[in-house]
Amino acid sequence: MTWYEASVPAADLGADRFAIQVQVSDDDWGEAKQTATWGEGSDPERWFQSWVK
Amino acid sequence: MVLWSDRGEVTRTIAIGKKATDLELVDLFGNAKKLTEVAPGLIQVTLAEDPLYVTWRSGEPDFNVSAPPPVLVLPTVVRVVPGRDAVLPVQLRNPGQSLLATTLQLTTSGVAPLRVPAAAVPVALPVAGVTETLRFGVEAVQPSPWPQQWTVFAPVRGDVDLTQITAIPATLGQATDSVAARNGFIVNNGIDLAALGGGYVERKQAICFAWYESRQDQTIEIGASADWWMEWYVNGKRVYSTLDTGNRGGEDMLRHTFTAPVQAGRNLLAVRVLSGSGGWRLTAGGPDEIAALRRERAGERDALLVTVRVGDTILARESLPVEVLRPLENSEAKTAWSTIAPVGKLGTVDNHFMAQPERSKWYQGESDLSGQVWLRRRGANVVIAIAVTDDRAPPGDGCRVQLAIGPSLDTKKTLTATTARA
Repeated sequence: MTWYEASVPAADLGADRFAIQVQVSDDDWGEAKQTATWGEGSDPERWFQSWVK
Repeated sequence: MVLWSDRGEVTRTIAIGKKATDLELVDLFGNAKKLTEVAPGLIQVTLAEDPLYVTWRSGEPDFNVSAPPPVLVLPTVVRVVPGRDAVLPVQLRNPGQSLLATTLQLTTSGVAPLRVPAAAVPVALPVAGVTETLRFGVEAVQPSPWPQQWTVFAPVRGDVDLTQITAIPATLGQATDSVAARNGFIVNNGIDLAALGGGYVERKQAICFAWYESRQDQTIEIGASADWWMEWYVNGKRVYSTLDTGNRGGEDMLRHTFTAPVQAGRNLLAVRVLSGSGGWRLTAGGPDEIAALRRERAGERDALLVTVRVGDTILARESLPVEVLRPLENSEAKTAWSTIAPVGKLGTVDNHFMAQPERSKWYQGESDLSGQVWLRRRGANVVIAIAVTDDRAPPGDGCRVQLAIGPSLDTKKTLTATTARA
């Protein structure tokens, strides 16, 4: 298992919500064999997360 | 005039000219009812796929009957953050040729604790139309007490008497063959026991524990299913079992529902799950999860109902779905990601070589490519962690993680592997 981590200033993400999508590609000599995505549904509009406490 | 809708049920206002008399509406089966104008020269009809027939005696024989654009135009969905006001833009069109004195009112349906203005808002609707903004909000909801984190022992050999266990143990099984506890998180209402237990063959045994915090002595409803056999204990008392019958169907939280007494404070849930020949999973939820799933299946949803009236007559009414956004949890402490619940797992794998004869490039299962995602607020930052499982065979075989985050998804950046806390 390989870990990836990113930290983004909340101030850069909008007033109280943001969109996020993670896409992972399993590459073979730089060419994607397969990809898997995380987001809430197929509609980008649905990928918004609220970050307010 | 014959009217129908090929886009589901809609309510439309139609201009037929002033001084119309003998207005009548007849349905497909010949049932007739009188129709009245909602405003001078305007009628309103709720249409669906079956045709409706409208007849009248015209007061303006030269009037060009028309169905003007809908009176009320709303966004397709409105999202609201608990504790904050949301602004709803409402576009109103005047279907007639003169100023209309209307009122605009918000009411609610569903179970989300939406706050809307009690009084109707008067709106003078000019011929050119107008855009109003309404404010509403939603109260923060008490989270479900159903445990999202379980302690899982898998695989466990031999018999374990769950009537004798009163606290979550650190290990389980016989001394020479004991199994250490692992964290199992509920994702999509279920726990992937095969991933925690190192794969499955039929009748491998997993024992899952969790604490259920109850505010009072009560009887709660539990919904569950397993791949494939399960047996439930609450505070050491057996409350349900499918060990004789198996699951009797696919994964579904409502497949087996049963009740169990709980006391105020902590209650120990213990579940024995035996794997099937095709998988090893436990799906489970408590009263809140069951109620939400039943509502979803009944087609119920949280919505705002927007009504435009002229006097007592409804000129337009539309239902607007409401989504309550989840607050992102704040975590100041540097906790190991694997001890807290992920927000999701990487979805369906899209294999670009499926149509090719080169089998070595086909998707081989979770060990080939899978992963989970964590999100936390930490101070002034939002932190994202991604754990990827990929059976790489270097050289040539690699993994690329791309992240898009922000007010839009326009910009993607490629992440490099870290030594993040597992």
